[in-house]
Amino acid sequence: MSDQGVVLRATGIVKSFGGPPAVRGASFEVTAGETVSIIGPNGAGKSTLFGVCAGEHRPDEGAVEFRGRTVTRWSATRRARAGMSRTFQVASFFGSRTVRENLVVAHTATGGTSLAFWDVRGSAGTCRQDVEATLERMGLATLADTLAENLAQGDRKRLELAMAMLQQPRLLLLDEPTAGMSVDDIRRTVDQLRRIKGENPELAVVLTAHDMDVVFSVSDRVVLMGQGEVLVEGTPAEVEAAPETRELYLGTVDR
Amino acid sequence: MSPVIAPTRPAAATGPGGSTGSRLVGRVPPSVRTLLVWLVVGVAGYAALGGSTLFLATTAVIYALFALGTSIQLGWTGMVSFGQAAYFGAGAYTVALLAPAGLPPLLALVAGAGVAALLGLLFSVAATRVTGVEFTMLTLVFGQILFLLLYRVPAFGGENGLPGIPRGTIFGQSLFSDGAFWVYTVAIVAIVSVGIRRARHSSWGVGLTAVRDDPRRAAALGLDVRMMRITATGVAALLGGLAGALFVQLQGIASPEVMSWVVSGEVVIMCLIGGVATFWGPAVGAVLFTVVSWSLMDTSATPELYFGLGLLIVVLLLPEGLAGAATKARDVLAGRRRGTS
Repeated sequence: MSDQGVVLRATGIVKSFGGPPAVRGASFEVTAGETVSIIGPNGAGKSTLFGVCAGEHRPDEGAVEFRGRTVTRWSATRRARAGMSRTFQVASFFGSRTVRENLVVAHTATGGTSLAFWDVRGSAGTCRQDVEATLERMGLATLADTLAENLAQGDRKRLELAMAMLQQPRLLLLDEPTAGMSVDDIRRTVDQLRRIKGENPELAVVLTAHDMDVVFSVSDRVVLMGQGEVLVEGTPAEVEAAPETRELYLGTVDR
Repeated sequence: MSPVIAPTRPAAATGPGGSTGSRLVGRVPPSVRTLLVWLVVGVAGYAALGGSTLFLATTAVIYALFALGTSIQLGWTGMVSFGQAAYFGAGAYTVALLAPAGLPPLLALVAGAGVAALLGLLFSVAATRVTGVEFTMLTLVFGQILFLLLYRVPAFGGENGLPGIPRGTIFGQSLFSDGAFWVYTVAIVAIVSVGIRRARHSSWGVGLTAVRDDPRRAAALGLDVRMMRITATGVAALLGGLAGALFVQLQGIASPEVMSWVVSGEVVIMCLIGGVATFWGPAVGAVLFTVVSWSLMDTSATPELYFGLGLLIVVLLLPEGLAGAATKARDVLAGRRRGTS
């Protein structure tokens, strides 16, 4: 595969937290416009691998490249500035602020303008326009003045996704984007992810998920992990048909 | 978390949530409003006060500047410091040590603020490796080390301090009279306040409050959390140094007490009483603190006792301080509760 389109490449990642390695030599890559899901049972190492990509954990071995640059030792902050936006398994936002204010913070943090003492945010032209447009597009306009801590679970995740998308990332890292959601919210989130991809054809997405329906409906490729290693990688149909998947998920997937 | 800074308030006021009660006020930009408040304070003080009360009012305004600066670190960024007197003292002693050179008063202020800012930056580059209580302990140690240096280094004049600092002349006008020095002080504090007010809604100000509310989230959004903490400390130090420099010009003497931990504690109390995360709170707290301390001075009562009790009441009943309580009262009166839809 040509290097041109590769947005994220993790090679030979090994990571242990004192005990036996949580990830032992995992590799995968994501090209522009592609959505890759990392799946696997609990303890398979998918969260650790995700954390290594996001800059939360530093790997013991292996390298992470983002758009051709080695970012293995970069902080989460530096990665975010370079165009990697993420969400958390437990939605993370500024609870004592309104939805709109959260988006203003996200906009402010984008692109490293944080040492500007004199530009007034919120009322400033581009910031205000971007924030209002994002509120509209993500279906949060009616909740704009609600304190984030008062949001329902699905709206919290939506706010987090809106904050990430407001930063116009090259790579979107979604940690369990549908965890703890109702069936209705899961459906809305899947629709939203599809629409985001439609509107941003160059955007690369990496997500971890438990819900196989979500994984198979949004992914271009699936990476199946087990015991810290990549067991199978391929299209959703290929991974679904693989014997390893049957083995790992026997009795847990009913499709 | 209770302190709420609304970075989008100006924008929100024009939207559907805009209040009717403050519509007229809402049209005037915050920086102009800030300037107007100081103009009124300046004129009223000049007209109504004189002698010792004007001297007291000048002291109060200088402390207001000190508290406003401190609140950037304490309230906006959530870094608790018990070493702010180090910056106040650094500004004070810089002016005192430069007095023989006969610098113009404004230049002396710039020097005092600059030395304090440098000190703040150096300290925070080292100290922001840790956070929370550990950081607070370092501020205390840092403040005490500088305080002790005042007694150890002969150039600082030991217990007696450095007396005989002239107020100087600005634009051909002597600052010797208390009236002239009042105008000079209020003008400087007014201009600096506009800057602080503006910075509060800037990218930097919004970033600081994000770091305070959730450092991990702020970092994941691309904010350099440590850089934000360092710059917050630097700016707080700069303003503390400016206040200390003004204080010495007012008093005519730099004495070691300006650097003691008591002063560090007092400025924190001023911020908390007034409302540390609000804009005007720290200034209001500083004025109240100064005036009440002064009025208790002649009695046998110990002001510390009253402030201890007052602080307890504020912390327990008004977690956002007097200014926060006032805002809430105004919102309730206007029949509007922001954010609770």
